[in-house]
Amino acid sequence: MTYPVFASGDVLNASDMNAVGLWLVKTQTIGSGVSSVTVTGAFSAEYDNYKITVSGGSASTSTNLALQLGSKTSGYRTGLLYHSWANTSLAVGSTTGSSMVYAGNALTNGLYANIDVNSPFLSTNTFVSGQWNSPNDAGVSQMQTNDTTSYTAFTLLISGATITGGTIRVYGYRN
Amino acid sequence: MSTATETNRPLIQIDDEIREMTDEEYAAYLEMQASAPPPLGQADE
Repeated sequence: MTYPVFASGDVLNASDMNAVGLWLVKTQTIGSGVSSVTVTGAFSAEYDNYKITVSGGSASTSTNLALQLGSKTSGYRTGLLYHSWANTSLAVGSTTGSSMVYAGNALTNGLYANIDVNSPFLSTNTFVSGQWNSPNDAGVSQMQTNDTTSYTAFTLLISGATITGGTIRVYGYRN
Repeated sequence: MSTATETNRPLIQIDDEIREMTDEEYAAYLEMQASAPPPLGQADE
């Protein structure tokens, strides 16, 4: 067979399966009217790097999705380089943030996040990149934990609003 | 999913459990709201 295209009845050889790059770790359905969602058991020694996606659902008021790792509530290095759809470039940042503020979007017509998390479980700095994509502007969001804590969980926070429905998915990049 | 509502505090979700914030969590929530940066433009189309 020619990887990654398989035909019905093909034997899945170890070499083929070991070449699969992205594995679903956890799926979490978002409840009704919540202001934050914590996903436990997301990060482990199984993978060094992860992708988090959020889709579907809706927010009571359009706002940002913020990200925290474990119980860390301060000391985040975080920044967003963004542009209006009319092409004006802007930036915001902090070296003492309480979260990765602009990790995604919670809009009345849908939730959105596409976050890559590098080395959350390893005892090294954790590096996170995400995307901001709102009706008025869009950009690239970055964060460092600036510590060597090993994290297993994360929380998505909704500032001044609640969210209902939607799905959080956590994938691990094969080491 | 289980839910619980005893006061008017915001609900939080931890995996499949949904409950109201504890005193400590609510204090942290209010502090976060107070220190939150100005929101970027989010008006829906």
